[in-house]
Amino acid sequence: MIPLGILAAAGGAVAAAGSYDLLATEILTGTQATVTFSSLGTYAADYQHLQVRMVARSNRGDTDSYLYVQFNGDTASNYNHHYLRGTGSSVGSDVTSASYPSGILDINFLPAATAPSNSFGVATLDILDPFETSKYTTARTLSGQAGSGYSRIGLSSGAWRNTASLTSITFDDIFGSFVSGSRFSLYGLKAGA
Amino acid sequence: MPTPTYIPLQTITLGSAASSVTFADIPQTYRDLVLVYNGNSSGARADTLINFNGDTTSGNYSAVAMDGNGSTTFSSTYLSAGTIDNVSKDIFTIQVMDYSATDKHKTSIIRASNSASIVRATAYRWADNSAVNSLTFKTQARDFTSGSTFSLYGIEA
Repeated sequence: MIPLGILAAAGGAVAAAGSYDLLATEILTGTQATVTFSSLGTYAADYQHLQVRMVARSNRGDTDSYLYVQFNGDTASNYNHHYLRGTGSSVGSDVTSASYPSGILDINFLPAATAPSNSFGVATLDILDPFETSKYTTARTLSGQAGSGYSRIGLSSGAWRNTASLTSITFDDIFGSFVSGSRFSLYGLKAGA
Repeated sequence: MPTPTYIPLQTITLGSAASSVTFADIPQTYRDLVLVYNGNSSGARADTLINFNGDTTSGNYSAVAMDGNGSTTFSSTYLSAGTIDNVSKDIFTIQVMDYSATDKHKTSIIRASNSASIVRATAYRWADNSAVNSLTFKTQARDFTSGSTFSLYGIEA
């Protein structure tokens, strides 16, 4: 069964065994400001879409931090991003590219130093057609964290305004560093015949 | 070296109405779990309650949800007595992240919907570092109806 609606783990249907592969994993053993998956071109022949599954926490001295996703090391203002977010009392939506232009931003995902101990945020990031050179690379996330004082659930999408084939993905805790135990796993969804 | 994953572990299809469904003895060889539910509950719309490892301790669960019902949006938090007040709509998919890790609480994200009334996304946390070895689903004072399906998958990392 080929996934219905692209990537199953984002909340849609289910991938078939053999169509969804684990490609790489980073499980941090110390604090680290960024995590990068590189040499992604080696996957271009076999995979149509990518997914990253993340479990992370920040050491920022606050309730939460923000996460950038950057493609091919591009830190210029070449990204668009918008989100829908529930806080437990209200639902809001915004475009964040004006204030945070240097990546696709997730603001619902990273509990930080004053959040409850041992609580981590989680997210699935779907990157669609990352190796096609006729379109901008587009991504979406489902992310959240739950706990006393600071809870967030969010849907977001973003685009990197570049048609280059994807060669690297960088995750940047823009106000701090990811703590030990944070985990980033990269998966590939195979193309059909 | 790519590793095929998203492995089907178990599917439960109810042959008759049931007040709860449990996945027990979940293998610890994966990093994440995905649970896909497609079903219904008897009577009026009911929420689904989820226990990890049979834990019904009050205060060990917290959740935040975001909803749209066709005319408005709203968000709420849930701190139920030992359970998580997820939605039991027509369908939901739960991502239980790092379920086999023992260095953190277990946080999950859910997409749920009832085509007649609501679409929802939820994050929830079980405040326990233990590895998850069982998942129990219940509805509030109602039953899951015959034909409801629960499918569990394991994802390596």
